[in-house]
Amino acid sequence: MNTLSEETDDAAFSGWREIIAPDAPGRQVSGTVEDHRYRADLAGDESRLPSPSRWLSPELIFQYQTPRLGFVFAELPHDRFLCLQRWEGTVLEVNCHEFTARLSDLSQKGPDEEATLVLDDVNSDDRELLRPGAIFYLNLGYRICQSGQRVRGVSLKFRRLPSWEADEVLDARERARKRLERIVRE
Amino acid sequence: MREIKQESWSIVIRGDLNPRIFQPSWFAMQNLLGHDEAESAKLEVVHPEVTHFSVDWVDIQVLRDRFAVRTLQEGHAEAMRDLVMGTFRLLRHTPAGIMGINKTVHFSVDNRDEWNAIGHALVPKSGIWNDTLKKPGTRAVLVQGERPDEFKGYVLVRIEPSPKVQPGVFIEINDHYNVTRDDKAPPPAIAELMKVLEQAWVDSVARADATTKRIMEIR
Amino acid sequence: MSDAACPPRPDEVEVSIFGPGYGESLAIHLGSGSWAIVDSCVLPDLLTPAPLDYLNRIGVDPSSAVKVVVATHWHDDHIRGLADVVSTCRSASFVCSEAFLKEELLMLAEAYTRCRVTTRTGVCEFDKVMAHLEEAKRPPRVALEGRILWHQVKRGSPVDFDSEIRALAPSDRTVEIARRTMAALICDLGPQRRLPVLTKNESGVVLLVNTGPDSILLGNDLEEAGIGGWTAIVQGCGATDERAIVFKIPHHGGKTGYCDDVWTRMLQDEPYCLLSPFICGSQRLPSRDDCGRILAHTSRGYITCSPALPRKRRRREPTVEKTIRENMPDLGDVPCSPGQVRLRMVPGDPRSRRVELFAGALSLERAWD
Repeated sequence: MNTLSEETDDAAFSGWREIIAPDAPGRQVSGTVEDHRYRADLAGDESRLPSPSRWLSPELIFQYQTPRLGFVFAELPHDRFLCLQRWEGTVLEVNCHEFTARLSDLSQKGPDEEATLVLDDVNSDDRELLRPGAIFYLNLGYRICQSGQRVRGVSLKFRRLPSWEADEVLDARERARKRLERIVRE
Repeated sequence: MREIKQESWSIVIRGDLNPRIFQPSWFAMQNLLGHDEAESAKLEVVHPEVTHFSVDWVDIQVLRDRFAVRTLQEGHAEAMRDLVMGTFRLLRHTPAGIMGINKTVHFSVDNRDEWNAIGHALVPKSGIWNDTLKKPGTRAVLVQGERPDEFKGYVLVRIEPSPKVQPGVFIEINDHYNVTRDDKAPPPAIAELMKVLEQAWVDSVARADATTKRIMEIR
Repeated sequence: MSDAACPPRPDEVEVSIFGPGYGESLAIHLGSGSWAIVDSCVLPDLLTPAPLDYLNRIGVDPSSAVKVVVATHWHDDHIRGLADVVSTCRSASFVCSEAFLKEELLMLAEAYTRCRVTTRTGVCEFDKVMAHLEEAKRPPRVALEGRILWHQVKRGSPVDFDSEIRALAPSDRTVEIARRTMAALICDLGPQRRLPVLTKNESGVVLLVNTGPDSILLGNDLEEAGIGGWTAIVQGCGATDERAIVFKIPHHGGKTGYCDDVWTRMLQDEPYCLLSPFICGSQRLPSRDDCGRILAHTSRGYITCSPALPRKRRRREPTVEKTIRENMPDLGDVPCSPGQVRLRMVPGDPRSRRVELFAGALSLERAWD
């Protein structure tokens, strides 16, 4: 390769190219670009997909009948976490200042591990989720600052999924009941 | 030594959505994001047509016809998946039939010779290219394959020079799933896509990681 | 001393206990080539459950020789690999507590199994067992106090003896308690949590295995709960003249499984006591005090491995190692040992009784050395 492509940070957008059919009508949105702060491409001309730094003037939006909305994600932050090792953990016990957990290596398959972690590593938002059985993701690596300085550390995030809804519980009950009927006892 | 310098995962869903719902406060209320997280969210826009905000580890964009979430920090792919699953467990009747599980990687190579060698390995210049173009260079490679499982869809891999890492290569893997009955039928409720996400996630990630590794091994 | 890989003689009864540190399972030879498996555990290096691996090593075909598979309760450490055991032991009856066949546990199994991103829970294994039973149309046999679960009569040979497996627990009352506990758990759980490891066991199956004149009391993980638990067993159907010579210590020797009346009214003097440790997080059972309590009753205590097994750190890249040392200095593999305690005896012949210790198993006196 001896040329650089255009800005490709909007990688997820390019995944959308297959979803957006070439002739799919877009939506006309009232207001100016500055109001909505999005980028719009020129309808029907994917090769002219602008780089994120190019803005279209307000007049251009209304010049075309069917502008398609193109999005770019936020730039990946300069201050980022470079992950070297990942686990999925389950809380076993919680004590005053620490908790023990069973860890399953997500970076490389192997038997389960156990470790004691300090409560200070759990951010304030996640403290209420910390109880036996709770599932979390643990990453070990470097935090890389914009200056390039690297600081080793951990990042810990608890799984957030809604508890079962009433109709899901009813559905599970119904399937359980049917299964019981099918299992004949001696 | 070749090294991944940046890695990101995203999930993109196409359906029928109301962007206005998806504000940080809604996610906090549903316990899908922490309260402090939601409070400090960087809000780009909330509008009936589009909502876009980010917290430190994930970026969320919702249009009327698509929902897209992308990790901003490494190591949060599973948390991002949980965010999508949690959102659409609550909004399980949302009509949606198409989903992409996407991975992007920027990796560095040792020198420009290696960098060029990758381009030549992917698209050999001898023959047609040298015969028809002056100094041909690989600009991008896009390859589509069939799905290796029971789901409808395809797998798309894009490889380009990396604009972020020089010399380096950019890879994008789009694992595309389609649960619509046919093009004319309305999309089913998103619960079906979420089942696919639950079932397919581990294999999709493994496949994307294996593809990345294989591309990084090209000499 | 017999060869480790030799099967027992037809006239020999055998009780083998496997306990790698987290997990417990038993293989029992009931005479005349008939076997029972109680619970299941898997060693990390093995793909096969420990009892199946053992039977294969001694040349016993589990698909025909195993007559009974018992699941005493649904806790994760007693149920890993059970689906494998049940499907391999095709000739065996599957026995479980009545609590297994209540809607509530099946509901939990359904809910967790549907949520495929929360894997590796005891109820997921339980769901696999139920799915197999349903598909193979194998009806489970329910264990309830007083019920005879399996019986083999003497065949006329002088070395043969009658064998019987009888349930001493659960009772209707404890099944109902378990059902309510399960119902409460459902409200509290969801895909964001696995079932906590350290929940109470109120409705487990307790078995009395009678082989001729000798009895074996298998206490599984049952805890003493005052009017429930062991006291109820001692006062109820456990109150017989049969006093066991072999006792599988309940609840890994922990004090919540201890009941003095069991020792004074259900066991012979100096019984052979077998147990496996429970190593999970900071919990290490039996503790030194627990060992002392058991050894006050018998000198014949044997454990599959030491509860003091250290965690071993696996090798990782230097940068990762350094970060681990700074942030999680006690990280290590879950302690594990392939230990086995094996007791063989000819029923009615005390001189024939011998205990063998394999692969890290040791006498209880040395458990904390």
